[in-house]
Amino acid sequence: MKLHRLNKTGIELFSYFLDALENDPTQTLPKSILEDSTTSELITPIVEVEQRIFDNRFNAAEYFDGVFSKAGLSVVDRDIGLWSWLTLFYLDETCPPNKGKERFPGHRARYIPEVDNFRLYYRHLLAGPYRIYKAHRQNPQRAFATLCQPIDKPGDIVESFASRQELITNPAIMEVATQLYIDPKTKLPKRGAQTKNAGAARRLVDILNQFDVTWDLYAMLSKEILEVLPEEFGKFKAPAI
Amino acid sequence: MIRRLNYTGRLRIQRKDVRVLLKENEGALSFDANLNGLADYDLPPDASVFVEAYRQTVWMRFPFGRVDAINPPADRKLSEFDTPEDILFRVKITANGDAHKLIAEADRIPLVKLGEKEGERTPLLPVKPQKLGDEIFRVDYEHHPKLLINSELGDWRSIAKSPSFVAIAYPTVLREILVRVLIVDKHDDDANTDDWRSLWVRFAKLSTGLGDLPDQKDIDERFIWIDSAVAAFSSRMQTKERFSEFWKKEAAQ
Repeated sequence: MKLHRLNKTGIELFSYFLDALENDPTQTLPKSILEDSTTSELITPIVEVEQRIFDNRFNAAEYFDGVFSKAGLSVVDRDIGLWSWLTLFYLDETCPPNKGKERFPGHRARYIPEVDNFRLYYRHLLAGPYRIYKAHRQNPQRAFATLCQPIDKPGDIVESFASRQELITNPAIMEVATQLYIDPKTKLPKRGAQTKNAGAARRLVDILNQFDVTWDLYAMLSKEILEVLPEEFGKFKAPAI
Repeated sequence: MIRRLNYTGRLRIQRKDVRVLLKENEGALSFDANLNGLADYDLPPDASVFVEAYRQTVWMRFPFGRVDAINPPADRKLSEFDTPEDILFRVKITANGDAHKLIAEADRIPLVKLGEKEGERTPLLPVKPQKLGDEIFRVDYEHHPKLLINSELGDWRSIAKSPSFVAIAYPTVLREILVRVLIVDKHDDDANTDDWRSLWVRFAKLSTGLGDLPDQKDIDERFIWIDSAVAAFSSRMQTKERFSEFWKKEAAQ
């Protein structure tokens, strides 16, 4: 299908659809609003997007980055209509149906981005990973700790880091998070990384917030940050077995 | 707001000592930074100076030389930002030779647009539209308090000025902010112009004519002080008259 963005009416209809799912989770997808000229506008130059299953947030962000490059769209972070359209187009990824064909959407900001709300902007299920990917475009793999998750289940590591601007934009910190918490073999979070226990991702965020008062963290290398972390992080420094 | 403890002796540079001016040329954004105010601080001459621009997941960093030789980079384009709205700046001074130690910092510096006066930079309570579900308004505390009005209601600027809204919302907002400042944060100071809490304490004192704050341990007295401040503010704003007039018109329809 050709890439579009939803207009105001389209966003309202999408919002009604999400509301309707709360009463009837088997509501069918209002696909017509994706191409109807009264609810969406075609983006030019024309670019095709295809239905696909994304393994994780990284795959989705990488794919969108390619699509936007083809369309000549360089600044899309705050394009509410575009992200709402993509969310609807990929609804089976963003709000997958269960075996009973029921969909249970979460907070509205996961589907229609709240671009001016600092507590919610990063929670959009597609724009969120794309923003992180773009912030680390020179080496997006370093932010894999926040991009390895399924699209519809970002989880605790994403929430811990993405909610803090000074952490999510810092290349060395994202490298540290990925080195500590992602198993290089499985490409998934290590056991215990998403708990509230010592050395887990939440603790790293607490420690880094304190370090930020003492050091210029943006100037540090990941190696230097790892060296000054307390012992509790030792178990995650070792490669996963 | 995440509270962090500064045990390091790091200097806090006042925002008034740093001025960042926005430049726009055919849609391209760049900035000039006036760092002359750094001369008023006791900083090591050889310490490095950096200026950072940020908004949400967008961040850029510019080396500005040393304290004794400020040297702005030729390229100060804010190329990663699509609009200037809500871009904030940080100035960092880091020690030379001491592994990235932060000596001094100024944060949350807003852009000043050409022709804008210094005093116009940040109103005490900026009003902004935002989707708020079924709520009409809410106070947002990112960086400093902002009054959010539900953008789905229509002309939010008119709502913010309407007599009924002013009469009901503003005393409530003042009470909420003062409770946060005086009871939750136990804040006392009214002199630090870089701390929004101090600005609100000063506002409450000056606009209401109330005297000194009760001791922070005396919670009950602080609540009474807040009640008095809100009452005095409501009187000055003539909120009862405003609402009464609105209500008469409403009842007559």
